Amino acid sequence: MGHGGNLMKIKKDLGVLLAVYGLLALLPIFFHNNMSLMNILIISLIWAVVAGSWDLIMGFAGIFTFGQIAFLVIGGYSSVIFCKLFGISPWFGFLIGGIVAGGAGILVGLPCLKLKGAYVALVTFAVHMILEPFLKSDIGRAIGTGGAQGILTVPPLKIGSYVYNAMEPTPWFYTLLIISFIAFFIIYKVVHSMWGYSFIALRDSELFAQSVGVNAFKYKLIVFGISAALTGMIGGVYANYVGMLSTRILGLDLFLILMVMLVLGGMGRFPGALLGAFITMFISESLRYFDTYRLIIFGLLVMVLVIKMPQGIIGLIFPLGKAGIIERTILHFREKKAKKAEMIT
Amino acid sequence: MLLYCKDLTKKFGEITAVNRLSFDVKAQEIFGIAGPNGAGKTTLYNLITGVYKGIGEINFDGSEINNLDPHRICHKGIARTFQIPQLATSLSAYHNIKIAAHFGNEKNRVDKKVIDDVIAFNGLRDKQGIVADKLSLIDKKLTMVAAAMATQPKMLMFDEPMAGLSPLEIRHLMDLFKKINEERGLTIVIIEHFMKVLTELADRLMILENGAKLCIGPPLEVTQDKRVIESYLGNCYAESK
Ligand SMILES: Nc1ncnc2c1ncn2[C@@H]1O[C@H](COP(=O)(O)OP(=O)(O)O)[C@@H](O)[C@H]1O
Ligand SMILES: [Mg+2]
Repeated sequence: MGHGGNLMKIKKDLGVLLAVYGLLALLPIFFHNNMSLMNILIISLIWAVVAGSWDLIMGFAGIFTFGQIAFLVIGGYSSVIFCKLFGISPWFGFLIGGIVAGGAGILVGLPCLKLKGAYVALVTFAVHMILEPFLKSDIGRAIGTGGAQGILTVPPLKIGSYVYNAMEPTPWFYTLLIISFIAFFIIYKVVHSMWGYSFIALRDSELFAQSVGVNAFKYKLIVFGISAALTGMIGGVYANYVGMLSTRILGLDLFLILMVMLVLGGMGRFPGALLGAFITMFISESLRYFDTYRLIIFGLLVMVLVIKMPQGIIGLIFPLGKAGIIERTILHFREKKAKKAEMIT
Repeated sequence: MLLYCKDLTKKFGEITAVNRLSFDVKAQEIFGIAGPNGAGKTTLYNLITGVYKGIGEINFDGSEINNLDPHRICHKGIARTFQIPQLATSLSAYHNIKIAAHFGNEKNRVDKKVIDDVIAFNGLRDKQGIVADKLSLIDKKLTMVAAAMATQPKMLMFDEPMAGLSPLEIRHLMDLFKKINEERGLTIVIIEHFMKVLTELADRLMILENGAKLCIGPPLEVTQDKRVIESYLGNCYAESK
Protein backbone atom coordinates (compact mmCIF):
# COMPACT_ATOMS: atom_id res chain seq x y z
CA MET A 1 0.00 0.00 0.00
CA GLY A 2 1.35 3.42 -0.93
CA HIS A 3 0.08 6.59 0.63
CA GLY A 4 -2.97 6.30 -1.61
CA GLY A 5 -5.03 5.85 1.53
CA ASN A 6 -4.64 9.52 2.31
CA LEU A 7 -5.55 10.59 -1.18
CA MET A 8 -8.72 8.53 -0.94
CA LYS A 9 -9.52 10.10 2.39
CA ILE A 10 -9.15 13.59 0.91
CA LYS A 11 -11.52 12.71 -1.90
CA LYS A 12 -13.91 11.13 0.57
CA ASP A 13 -13.99 14.30 2.70
CA LEU A 14 -14.72 16.47 -0.31
CA GLY A 15 -17.23 13.92 -1.58
CA VAL A 16 -19.19 13.95 1.68
CA LEU A 17 -19.15 17.75 1.71
CA LEU A 18 -20.43 17.99 -1.87
CA ALA A 19 -23.06 15.32 -1.30
CA VAL A 20 -24.44 17.09 1.80
CA TYR A 21 -24.54 20.43 0.00
CA GLY A 22 -26.14 18.86 -3.06
CA LEU A 23 -28.93 17.44 -0.90
CA LEU A 24 -29.36 20.72 0.98
CA ALA A 25 -29.68 22.65 -2.27
CA LEU A 26 -32.74 20.56 -3.17
CA LEU A 27 -34.63 21.18 0.08
CA PRO A 28 -36.28 24.52 -0.81
CA ILE A 29 -37.95 22.86 -3.79
CA PHE A 30 -40.11 20.96 -1.31
CA PHE A 31 -40.17 23.25 1.70
CA HIS A 32 -39.92 26.83 0.47
CA ASN A 33 -43.40 27.55 1.87
CA ASN A 34 -42.61 26.14 5.30
CA MET A 35 -41.29 29.27 6.99
CA SER A 36 -40.31 27.69 10.28
CA LEU A 37 -38.49 24.80 8.64
CA MET A 38 -36.63 27.14 6.31
CA ASN A 39 -35.65 29.23 9.31
CA ILE A 40 -34.26 26.16 11.08
CA LEU A 41 -32.26 25.21 7.98
CA ILE A 42 -30.80 28.71 7.68
CA ILE A 43 -29.87 28.88 11.35
CA SER A 44 -28.39 25.37 11.09
CA LEU A 45 -26.10 26.57 8.30
CA ILE A 46 -24.98 29.51 10.43
CA TRP A 47 -24.25 27.35 13.48
CA ALA A 48 -22.58 24.78 11.24
CA VAL A 49 -19.94 27.35 10.30
CA VAL A 50 -19.36 28.20 13.98
CA ALA A 51 -19.13 24.52 14.88
CA GLY A 52 -16.88 23.81 11.88
CA SER A 53 -14.42 26.56 12.72
CA TRP A 54 -14.51 25.59 16.39
CA ASP A 55 -13.69 22.05 15.29
CA LEU A 56 -10.73 23.34 13.31
CA ILE A 57 -9.07 24.64 16.45
CA MET A 58 -10.43 22.20 19.03
CA GLY A 59 -10.75 18.98 16.99
CA PHE A 60 -7.88 19.30 14.55
CA ALA A 61 -5.42 21.48 16.45
CA GLY A 62 -6.43 20.04 19.84
CA ILE A 63 -6.53 23.48 21.49
CA PHE A 64 -9.38 23.57 23.97
CA THR A 65 -10.81 27.02 23.40
CA PHE A 66 -14.16 27.99 24.81
CA GLY A 67 -14.15 31.40 23.17
CA GLN A 68 -15.86 30.60 19.90
CA ILE A 69 -19.11 32.41 20.70
CA ALA A 70 -17.11 35.42 21.83
CA PHE A 71 -15.60 35.58 18.33
CA LEU A 72 -19.06 35.18 16.82
CA VAL A 73 -20.29 38.13 18.87
CA ILE A 74 -17.18 40.23 18.16
CA GLY A 75 -17.60 39.57 14.44
CA GLY A 76 -21.31 40.33 14.54
CA TYR A 77 -21.00 43.61 16.43
CA SER A 78 -18.03 44.91 14.44
CA SER A 79 -19.72 44.02 11.16
CA VAL A 80 -22.91 45.91 12.02
CA ILE A 81 -21.13 48.83 13.69
CA PHE A 82 -18.84 49.33 10.67
CA CYS A 83 -21.78 49.20 8.29
CA LYS A 84 -23.67 51.81 10.29
CA LEU A 85 -20.66 54.03 10.88
CA PHE A 86 -19.31 54.11 7.34
CA GLY A 87 -22.41 53.22 5.37
CA ILE A 88 -20.67 50.29 3.71
CA SER A 89 -22.55 47.32 2.26
CA PRO A 90 -23.23 44.47 4.68
CA TRP A 91 -21.37 42.17 2.28
CA PHE A 92 -18.22 44.10 3.19
CA GLY A 93 -19.42 44.12 6.77
CA PHE A 94 -19.14 40.32 6.83
CA LEU A 95 -15.52 40.59 5.75
CA ILE A 96 -14.84 43.26 8.37
CA GLY A 97 -16.45 41.02 11.01
CA GLY A 98 -14.10 38.23 9.93
CA ILE A 99 -11.03 40.43 10.00
CA VAL A 100 -11.78 41.97 13.41
CA ALA A 101 -12.65 38.59 14.95
CA GLY A 102 -9.54 37.05 13.36
CA GLY A 103 -7.42 39.75 14.95
CA ALA A 104 -9.17 39.19 18.27
CA GLY A 105 -8.51 35.46 17.87
CA ILE A 106 -4.78 36.06 17.48
CA LEU A 107 -4.75 38.39 20.50
CA VAL A 108 -6.58 35.83 22.64
CA GLY A 109 -4.30 33.11 21.27
CA LEU A 110 -1.13 34.88 22.42
CA PRO A 111 -1.52 34.32 26.17
CA CYS A 112 -2.74 30.76 25.48
CA LEU A 113 0.37 29.57 23.64
CA LYS A 114 2.35 28.59 26.70
CA LEU A 115 -0.64 27.20 28.56
CA LYS A 116 -1.76 23.60 28.78
CA GLY A 117 -5.22 22.22 28.01
CA ALA A 118 -7.55 23.22 30.80
CA TYR A 119 -5.92 26.63 31.29
CA VAL A 120 -6.56 27.54 27.66
CA ALA A 121 -10.21 26.68 28.22
CA LEU A 122 -10.27 28.96 31.27
CA VAL A 123 -8.57 31.92 29.58
CA THR A 124 -10.76 31.73 26.48
CA PHE A 125 -13.91 31.32 28.51
CA ALA A 126 -12.86 34.35 30.54
CA VAL A 127 -12.93 36.33 27.28
CA HIS A 128 -16.45 35.04 26.73
CA MET A 129 -17.44 36.12 30.26
CA ILE A 130 -15.87 39.57 29.95
CA LEU A 131 -17.58 40.31 26.66
CA GLU A 132 -21.12 40.75 27.96
CA PRO A 133 -20.37 43.37 30.65
CA PHE A 134 -18.03 45.10 28.19
CA LEU A 135 -20.65 45.36 25.45
CA LYS A 136 -23.17 46.66 27.99
CA SER A 137 -20.73 49.16 29.51
CA ASP A 138 -20.40 52.85 28.69
CA ILE A 139 -17.36 52.15 26.56
CA GLY A 140 -19.37 49.59 24.60
CA ARG A 141 -22.22 52.04 24.24
CA ALA A 142 -19.78 54.67 22.95
CA ILE A 143 -18.58 52.28 20.25
CA GLY A 144 -22.16 51.64 19.23
CA THR A 145 -23.12 48.34 20.84
CA GLY A 146 -26.42 49.74 22.07
CA GLY A 147 -25.67 48.72 25.65
CA ALA A 148 -27.99 46.27 27.37
CA GLN A 149 -30.60 46.68 24.68
CA GLY A 150 -28.26 45.66 21.91
CA ILE A 151 -28.42 46.78 18.30
CA LEU A 152 -32.04 46.84 17.20
CA THR A 153 -31.69 47.88 13.57
CA VAL A 154 -29.25 46.30 11.17
CA PRO A 155 -28.71 47.75 7.66
CA PRO A 156 -30.49 45.41 5.23
CA LEU A 157 -28.61 43.12 2.90
CA LYS A 158 -29.12 43.83 -0.80
CA ILE A 159 -28.10 42.24 -4.03
CA GLY A 160 -28.74 44.52 -7.01
CA SER A 161 -32.18 45.96 -6.35
CA TYR A 162 -33.32 42.95 -4.32
CA VAL A 163 -33.56 43.52 -0.58
CA TYR A 164 -33.35 40.42 1.61
CA ASN A 165 -36.31 40.15 4.00
CA ALA A 166 -37.75 37.86 6.62
CA MET A 167 -40.80 36.98 4.50
CA GLU A 168 -38.72 35.31 1.80
CA PRO A 169 -36.45 32.68 3.31
CA THR A 170 -35.39 31.03 0.05
CA PRO A 171 -32.88 33.71 -1.06
CA TRP A 172 -31.46 33.74 2.46
CA PHE A 173 -31.15 29.98 2.35
CA TYR A 174 -29.22 29.88 -0.90
CA THR A 175 -27.03 32.79 0.16
CA LEU A 176 -26.14 30.95 3.36
CA LEU A 177 -25.65 27.76 1.42
CA ILE A 178 -22.98 29.52 -0.63
CA ILE A 179 -21.36 31.41 2.26
CA SER A 180 -21.24 28.34 4.50
CA PHE A 181 -19.94 26.23 1.64
CA ILE A 182 -17.10 28.71 1.13
CA ALA A 183 -16.33 28.52 4.86
CA PHE A 184 -16.33 24.71 4.85
CA PHE A 185 -14.28 24.61 1.69
CA ILE A 186 -11.69 26.86 3.35
CA ILE A 187 -11.67 24.55 6.38
CA TYR A 188 -11.35 21.54 4.07
CA LYS A 189 -8.45 23.16 2.22
CA VAL A 190 -6.71 24.12 5.46
CA VAL A 191 -7.16 20.69 7.02
CA HIS A 192 -5.59 19.00 4.00
CA SER A 193 -2.73 21.45 3.62
CA MET A 194 0.68 21.44 5.29
CA TRP A 195 -0.81 23.93 7.77
CA GLY A 196 -3.47 21.39 8.65
CA TYR A 197 -0.87 18.66 9.08
CA SER A 198 1.14 20.95 11.35
CA PHE A 199 -1.98 21.53 13.50
CA ILE A 200 -2.53 17.78 13.78
CA ALA A 201 1.15 17.13 14.51
CA LEU A 202 1.12 19.76 17.27
CA ARG A 203 -2.01 18.16 18.68
CA ASP A 204 -0.67 14.60 18.58
CA SER A 205 2.82 15.39 19.85
CA GLU A 206 4.12 18.90 20.25
CA LEU A 207 7.55 17.43 21.03
CA PHE A 208 7.67 15.64 17.70
CA ALA A 209 6.24 18.54 15.70
CA GLN A 210 8.75 21.02 17.08
CA SER A 211 11.65 18.61 16.72
CA VAL A 212 11.02 18.39 12.97
CA GLY A 213 10.83 22.15 12.59
CA VAL A 214 7.20 23.11 13.19
CA ASN A 215 7.02 26.57 14.72
CA ALA A 216 4.44 25.91 17.44
CA PHE A 217 4.00 29.61 18.19
CA LYS A 218 3.25 30.55 14.58
CA TYR A 219 0.93 27.71 13.68
CA LYS A 220 -1.09 27.91 16.87
CA LEU A 221 -1.66 31.60 16.22
CA ILE A 222 -2.62 30.84 12.62
CA VAL A 223 -5.25 28.35 13.72
CA PHE A 224 -6.58 30.81 16.31
CA GLY A 225 -6.78 33.44 13.57
CA ILE A 226 -8.48 31.34 10.88
CA SER A 227 -10.95 29.77 13.29
CA ALA A 228 -11.96 33.12 14.80
CA ALA A 229 -12.10 34.87 11.41
CA LEU A 230 -14.53 32.34 9.91
CA THR A 231 -16.69 32.51 13.01
CA GLY A 232 -16.60 36.32 13.05
CA MET A 233 -17.59 36.47 9.40
CA ILE A 234 -20.63 34.29 10.03
CA GLY A 235 -21.37 36.47 13.08
CA GLY A 236 -21.96 39.36 10.68
CA VAL A 237 -24.23 37.19 8.55
CA TYR A 238 -26.12 36.09 11.66
CA ALA A 239 -26.75 39.68 12.77
CA ASN A 240 -28.05 40.51 9.32
CA TYR A 241 -30.31 37.51 9.11
CA VAL A 242 -31.81 37.98 12.56
CA GLY A 243 -32.00 41.75 12.04
CA MET A 244 -30.77 42.59 15.52
CA LEU A 245 -27.92 41.79 17.87
CA SER A 246 -27.71 41.57 21.64
CA THR A 247 -25.61 39.83 24.24
CA ARG A 248 -28.26 37.14 24.61
CA ILE A 249 -26.36 34.71 22.37
CA LEU A 250 -23.59 34.73 24.97
CA GLY A 251 -25.96 32.66 27.16
CA LEU A 252 -25.33 29.02 27.94
CA ASP A 253 -27.97 27.72 25.48
CA LEU A 254 -25.98 28.32 22.33
CA PHE A 255 -22.76 27.20 23.96
CA LEU A 256 -24.26 23.86 24.85
CA ILE A 257 -25.93 23.41 21.47
CA LEU A 258 -22.68 24.10 19.64
CA MET A 259 -20.90 21.63 21.86
CA VAL A 260 -23.48 18.94 21.05
CA MET A 261 -23.03 19.72 17.34
CA LEU A 262 -19.29 19.18 17.69
CA VAL A 263 -19.40 15.97 19.67
CA LEU A 264 -22.33 14.55 17.75
CA GLY A 265 -20.67 15.29 14.43
CA GLY A 266 -17.31 13.97 15.56
CA MET A 267 -14.45 16.16 16.73
CA GLY A 268 -11.62 16.46 14.27
CA ARG A 269 -13.60 14.51 11.67
CA PHE A 270 -14.37 16.63 8.61
CA PRO A 271 -17.18 17.53 7.91
CA GLY A 272 -18.68 16.15 11.09
CA ALA A 273 -19.56 19.60 12.41
CA LEU A 274 -21.81 20.20 9.40
CA LEU A 275 -23.80 17.00 9.95
CA GLY A 276 -23.77 17.55 13.70
CA ALA A 277 -25.24 21.04 13.26
CA PHE A 278 -28.28 19.84 11.33
CA ILE A 279 -28.99 16.83 13.50
CA THR A 280 -28.59 18.85 16.68
CA MET A 281 -30.84 21.64 15.43
CA PHE A 282 -33.57 19.15 14.65
CA ILE A 283 -33.22 17.44 18.02
CA SER A 284 -33.29 20.85 19.67
CA GLU A 285 -36.43 21.87 17.82
CA SER A 286 -38.21 18.66 18.66
CA LEU A 287 -37.28 19.15 22.32
CA ARG A 288 -38.81 22.65 22.35
CA TYR A 289 -41.88 21.11 23.99
CA PHE A 290 -39.79 20.20 27.05
CA ASP A 291 -38.83 23.84 27.56
CA THR A 292 -36.45 24.15 30.51
CA TYR A 293 -35.66 20.44 30.50
CA ARG A 294 -34.19 20.91 27.04
CA LEU A 295 -30.85 22.09 28.44
CA ILE A 296 -30.73 19.21 30.90
CA ILE A 297 -31.35 16.74 28.10
CA PHE A 298 -28.64 18.42 26.03
CA GLY A 299 -26.18 18.34 28.89
CA LEU A 300 -26.80 14.64 29.38
CA LEU A 301 -26.50 14.09 25.64
CA VAL A 302 -23.02 15.64 25.64
CA MET A 303 -21.93 13.31 28.44
CA VAL A 304 -23.31 10.18 26.80
CA LEU A 305 -21.87 11.10 23.41
CA VAL A 306 -18.39 11.84 24.71
CA ILE A 307 -18.30 8.48 26.47
CA LYS A 308 -20.11 6.27 23.97
CA MET A 309 -19.44 7.88 20.61
CA PRO A 310 -16.19 9.86 20.75
CA GLN A 311 -15.88 9.87 16.97
CA GLY A 312 -19.43 11.12 16.44
CA ILE A 313 -21.68 10.52 13.44
CA ILE A 314 -18.81 10.72 10.98
CA GLY A 315 -17.01 8.12 13.07
CA LEU A 316 -20.03 5.86 12.76
CA ILE A 317 -20.10 6.20 8.98
CA PHE A 318 -16.35 6.28 8.41
CA PRO A 319 -14.62 4.93 11.53
CA LEU A 320 -10.85 5.27 11.69
CA GLY A 321 -9.12 2.04 10.77
CA LYS A 322 -12.13 -0.26 10.25
CA ALA A 323 -15.12 -0.67 7.96
CA GLY A 324 -17.98 1.71 8.67
CA ILE A 325 -21.71 1.43 8.07
CA ILE A 326 -21.44 2.21 4.35
CA GLU A 327 -18.57 -0.16 3.71
CA ARG A 328 -20.25 -2.88 5.82
CA THR A 329 -23.51 -2.45 3.89
CA ILE A 330 -21.73 -2.72 0.57
CA LEU A 331 -19.90 -5.81 1.79
CA HIS A 332 -23.16 -7.31 3.04
CA PHE A 333 -24.84 -6.92 -0.35
CA ARG A 334 -21.79 -8.22 -2.17
CA GLU A 335 -21.80 -11.33 -0.01
CA LYS A 336 -25.53 -11.81 -0.59
CA LYS A 337 -25.02 -11.48 -4.31
CA ALA A 338 -22.14 -13.93 -4.20
CA LYS A 339 -24.29 -16.43 -2.29
CA LYS A 340 -27.08 -16.06 -4.81
CA ALA A 341 -24.65 -16.63 -7.63
CA GLU A 342 -23.43 -19.73 -5.83
CA MET A 343 -26.96 -21.10 -5.45
CA ILE A 344 -27.70 -20.62 -9.12
CA THR A 345 -24.62 -22.45 -10.28
CA MET B 1 34.20 20.21 16.39
CA LEU B 2 30.52 20.14 15.48
CA LEU B 3 28.85 20.40 18.88
CA TYR B 4 30.40 22.05 21.88
CA CYS B 5 28.81 22.32 25.32
CA LYS B 6 30.28 24.21 28.23
CA ASP B 7 29.13 24.20 31.86
CA LEU B 8 25.60 23.09 30.99
CA THR B 9 23.35 23.08 34.03
CA LYS B 10 19.67 22.31 34.43
CA LYS B 11 17.82 22.23 37.72
CA PHE B 12 14.32 21.01 38.44
CA GLY B 13 13.60 22.49 41.85
CA GLU B 14 15.94 20.64 44.21
CA ILE B 15 17.18 18.20 41.58
CA THR B 16 20.19 19.12 39.48
CA ALA B 17 19.50 16.98 36.41
CA VAL B 18 22.51 18.25 34.45
CA ASN B 19 25.43 19.59 36.46
CA ARG B 20 28.15 21.81 34.91
CA LEU B 21 28.60 19.45 32.00
CA SER B 22 31.20 20.19 29.33
CA PHE B 23 31.97 18.03 26.29
CA ASP B 24 32.19 18.17 22.54
CA VAL B 25 31.15 16.05 19.59
CA LYS B 26 33.33 15.92 16.49
CA ALA B 27 31.95 16.04 12.98
CA GLN B 28 31.16 12.60 11.51
CA GLU B 29 31.77 10.67 14.70
CA ILE B 30 29.38 8.42 16.55
CA PHE B 31 29.25 9.71 20.11
CA GLY B 32 27.77 7.42 22.73
CA ILE B 33 26.25 8.45 26.04
CA ALA B 34 25.48 6.05 28.87
CA GLY B 35 24.74 6.22 32.55
CA PRO B 36 22.25 5.00 35.13
CA ASN B 37 18.55 5.89 35.00
CA GLY B 38 18.00 9.46 36.05
CA ALA B 39 21.60 10.44 35.23
CA GLY B 40 20.32 13.32 33.11
CA LYS B 41 20.83 11.90 29.63
CA THR B 42 17.41 12.80 28.26
CA THR B 43 17.55 16.18 29.99
CA LEU B 44 20.84 16.83 28.19
CA TYR B 45 19.10 16.11 24.85
CA ASN B 46 16.24 18.40 25.81
CA LEU B 47 18.73 21.18 26.57
CA ILE B 48 20.58 20.77 23.28
CA THR B 49 17.36 20.60 21.23
CA GLY B 50 15.77 23.59 22.95
CA VAL B 51 12.96 21.76 24.74
CA TYR B 52 14.36 23.07 28.04
CA LYS B 53 16.27 26.25 28.66
CA GLY B 54 19.22 25.89 31.00
CA ILE B 55 22.41 27.65 32.00
CA GLY B 56 25.65 27.31 30.08
CA GLU B 57 26.84 27.47 26.51
CA ILE B 58 25.82 25.32 23.56
CA ASN B 59 27.58 25.85 20.28
CA PHE B 60 26.66 23.98 17.12
CA ASP B 61 28.39 24.20 13.77
CA GLY B 62 29.99 27.51 14.65
CA SER B 63 27.01 29.33 16.16
CA GLU B 64 25.49 29.62 19.60
CA ILE B 65 22.21 27.81 19.85
CA ASN B 66 21.27 28.27 23.50
CA ASN B 67 17.90 29.93 23.92
CA LEU B 68 16.73 29.03 20.42
CA ASP B 69 13.31 27.41 20.12
CA PRO B 70 13.23 23.71 19.15
CA HIS B 71 12.14 24.35 15.56
CA ARG B 72 15.01 26.80 15.06
CA ILE B 73 17.48 24.25 16.34
CA CYS B 74 16.03 21.75 13.88
CA HIS B 75 16.66 24.28 11.11
CA LYS B 76 20.26 24.61 12.32
CA GLY B 77 20.74 20.93 11.56
CA ILE B 78 20.04 18.94 14.72
CA ALA B 79 17.38 16.21 14.54
CA ARG B 80 16.44 13.74 17.22
CA THR B 81 14.29 10.79 18.17
CA PHE B 82 12.59 10.20 21.50
CA GLN B 83 12.92 7.53 24.17
CA ILE B 84 9.14 7.13 24.24
CA PRO B 85 8.07 7.27 20.57
CA GLN B 86 6.72 10.68 19.58
CA LEU B 87 4.91 10.99 16.25
CA ALA B 88 1.83 12.58 14.73
CA THR B 89 -0.03 9.43 15.78
CA SER B 90 -3.18 10.00 13.74
CA LEU B 91 -1.33 10.60 10.47
CA SER B 92 0.31 8.03 8.23
CA ALA B 93 4.03 7.32 8.39
CA TYR B 94 4.29 9.03 5.02
CA HIS B 95 2.70 12.22 6.32
CA ASN B 96 4.89 12.23 9.41
CA ILE B 97 7.91 12.17 7.12
CA LYS B 98 6.39 14.75 4.78
CA ILE B 99 5.81 17.13 7.70
CA ALA B 100 9.47 16.78 8.65
CA ALA B 101 10.62 17.33 5.07
CA HIS B 102 8.42 20.41 4.74
CA PHE B 103 8.94 22.15 8.07
CA GLY B 104 12.49 20.89 8.61
CA ASN B 105 13.97 23.62 6.44
CA GLU B 106 13.49 27.33 6.92
CA LYS B 107 11.94 27.87 3.51
CA ASN B 108 9.31 25.17 4.14
CA ARG B 109 9.99 23.58 0.82
CA VAL B 110 9.20 19.89 0.34
CA ASP B 111 11.64 17.96 -1.78
CA LYS B 112 9.82 14.84 -2.89
CA LYS B 113 13.13 13.13 -3.59
CA VAL B 114 14.14 13.53 0.05
CA ILE B 115 10.90 11.93 1.21
CA ASP B 116 11.23 8.98 -1.16
CA ASP B 117 14.88 8.59 -0.25
CA VAL B 118 14.41 8.42 3.54
CA ILE B 119 11.43 6.09 3.15
CA ALA B 120 13.48 3.71 1.02
CA PHE B 121 16.57 4.09 3.22
CA ASN B 122 14.62 3.13 6.34
CA GLY B 123 12.73 0.31 4.62
CA LEU B 124 9.33 1.88 5.10
CA ARG B 125 7.99 1.54 1.55
CA ASP B 126 5.34 -1.01 2.51
CA LYS B 127 4.41 0.74 5.74
CA GLN B 128 4.20 4.38 4.65
CA GLY B 129 0.41 4.34 4.31
CA ILE B 130 -0.18 3.03 7.83
CA VAL B 131 -1.37 5.43 10.54
CA ALA B 132 1.56 5.97 12.92
CA ASP B 133 -0.47 4.84 15.93
CA LYS B 134 -0.96 1.41 14.34
CA LEU B 135 2.72 0.83 13.49
CA SER B 136 4.77 -1.75 15.39
CA LEU B 137 7.38 -0.42 17.84
CA ILE B 138 10.29 -0.93 15.45
CA ASP B 139 8.38 0.77 12.62
CA LYS B 140 7.52 3.69 14.89
CA LYS B 141 11.21 4.04 15.66
CA LEU B 142 12.13 3.77 11.98
CA THR B 143 9.52 6.42 11.15
CA MET B 144 11.06 8.72 13.78
CA VAL B 145 14.50 8.12 12.25
CA ALA B 146 13.13 8.71 8.75
CA ALA B 147 11.40 11.93 9.84
CA ALA B 148 14.57 13.12 11.57
CA MET B 149 16.56 12.39 8.40
CA ALA B 150 13.95 14.16 6.26
CA THR B 151 14.82 17.44 7.97
CA GLN B 152 18.25 17.03 6.32
CA PRO B 153 20.26 17.44 9.51
CA LYS B 154 23.98 17.49 10.12
CA MET B 155 23.64 15.64 13.41
CA LEU B 156 21.19 12.98 14.59
CA MET B 157 20.50 12.35 18.27
CA PHE B 158 18.94 9.03 19.29
CA ASP B 159 17.55 8.55 22.79
CA GLU B 160 17.67 4.88 23.85
CA PRO B 161 16.65 3.67 20.38
CA MET B 162 17.05 -0.03 21.23
CA ALA B 163 14.70 -0.07 24.23
CA GLY B 164 11.99 -2.70 23.84
CA LEU B 165 13.38 -4.24 20.65
CA SER B 166 14.27 -7.86 19.89
CA PRO B 167 17.94 -8.83 19.29
CA LEU B 168 17.25 -9.07 15.56
CA GLU B 169 15.70 -5.62 15.46
CA ILE B 170 18.60 -4.21 17.48
CA ARG B 171 21.03 -5.69 14.97
CA HIS B 172 19.02 -4.10 12.15
CA LEU B 173 19.04 -0.65 13.77
CA MET B 174 22.75 -0.86 14.53
CA ASP B 175 23.51 -1.59 10.89
CA LEU B 176 21.20 1.23 9.85
CA PHE B 177 22.94 3.72 12.15
CA LYS B 178 26.33 2.66 10.78
CA LYS B 179 25.01 3.21 7.29
CA ILE B 180 23.68 6.66 8.19
CA ASN B 181 27.07 7.56 9.60
CA GLU B 182 29.21 6.07 6.84
CA GLU B 183 27.13 6.57 3.71
CA ARG B 184 25.42 9.83 4.63
CA GLY B 185 28.27 11.28 6.60
CA LEU B 186 25.97 12.28 9.44
CA THR B 187 27.21 12.79 12.97
CA ILE B 188 25.36 10.61 15.47
CA VAL B 189 24.87 11.03 19.19
CA ILE B 190 23.32 7.99 20.83
CA ILE B 191 22.12 7.34 24.36
CA GLU B 192 22.01 3.63 25.02
CA HIS B 193 21.75 1.20 27.89
CA PHE B 194 23.10 -1.80 26.00
CA MET B 195 26.89 -1.50 26.34
CA LYS B 196 27.45 -3.88 23.44
CA VAL B 197 25.70 -1.47 21.11
CA LEU B 198 27.91 1.38 22.23
CA THR B 199 31.20 -0.53 22.19
CA GLU B 200 30.49 -1.63 18.65
CA LEU B 201 29.13 1.67 17.29
CA ALA B 202 30.67 4.54 19.21
CA ASP B 203 33.94 6.23 18.41
CA ARG B 204 33.82 7.86 21.81
CA LEU B 205 31.73 7.27 24.88
CA MET B 206 30.67 9.54 27.73
CA ILE B 207 29.37 8.18 31.01
CA LEU B 208 27.06 10.43 33.00
CA GLU B 209 26.24 10.17 36.66
CA ASN B 210 24.04 12.54 38.64
CA GLY B 211 24.09 14.97 35.76
CA ALA B 212 27.88 15.18 35.61
CA LYS B 213 30.53 13.63 33.40
CA LEU B 214 32.10 10.59 35.01
CA CYS B 215 34.39 9.63 32.17
CA ILE B 216 34.87 10.20 28.45
CA GLY B 217 36.98 8.46 25.80
CA PRO B 218 37.16 5.49 23.42
CA PRO B 219 34.62 2.82 24.51
CA LEU B 220 37.26 0.20 25.30
CA GLU B 221 39.05 2.58 27.65
CA VAL B 222 35.89 3.82 29.28
CA THR B 223 34.55 0.35 29.97
CA GLN B 224 37.85 -0.50 31.72
CA ASP B 225 37.67 2.61 33.91
CA LYS B 226 37.47 1.75 37.59
CA ARG B 227 34.97 4.48 38.46
CA VAL B 228 32.71 3.45 35.61
CA ILE B 229 32.77 -0.23 36.58
CA GLU B 230 32.07 0.65 40.19
CA SER B 231 29.27 3.10 39.72
CA TYR B 232 27.60 2.02 36.50
CA LEU B 233 28.83 -1.05 34.68
CA GLY B 234 29.05 -3.15 37.79
CA ASN B 235 25.34 -3.18 38.48
CA CYS B 236 24.51 -2.92 34.78
CA TYR B 237 26.43 -6.10 33.98
CA ALA B 238 24.93 -7.75 37.02
CA GLU B 239 21.47 -6.79 35.74
CA SER B 240 22.06 -8.38 32.36
CA LYS B 241 23.32 -11.62 33.90
N1 LIG C 1 10.42 17.79 33.42
C1 LIG C 1 11.02 17.40 34.56
N2 LIG C 1 10.60 17.89 35.74
C2 LIG C 1 11.18 17.52 36.90
N3 LIG C 1 12.20 16.65 36.99
C3 LIG C 1 12.66 16.13 35.84
C4 LIG C 1 12.10 16.48 34.57
N4 LIG C 1 12.78 15.79 33.61
C5 LIG C 1 13.70 15.06 34.24
N5 LIG C 1 13.65 15.26 35.59
C6 LIG C 1 14.54 14.66 36.59
O1 LIG C 1 15.84 14.87 36.17
C7 LIG C 1 16.63 13.72 36.39
C8 LIG C 1 17.24 13.24 35.09
O2 LIG C 1 16.22 12.68 34.28
P1 LIG C 1 16.48 12.17 32.82
O3 LIG C 1 17.24 13.20 32.09
O4 LIG C 1 15.19 11.76 32.23
O5 LIG C 1 17.39 10.91 33.09
P2 LIG C 1 17.86 9.74 32.10
O6 LIG C 1 17.37 10.06 30.73
O7 LIG C 1 19.36 9.75 32.21
O8 LIG C 1 17.29 8.48 32.64
C9 LIG C 1 15.73 12.69 37.05
O9 LIG C 1 15.92 12.77 38.44
C10 LIG C 1 14.35 13.16 36.67
O10 LIG C 1 13.43 12.81 37.67
MG1 LIG D 1 16.13 9.05 29.42
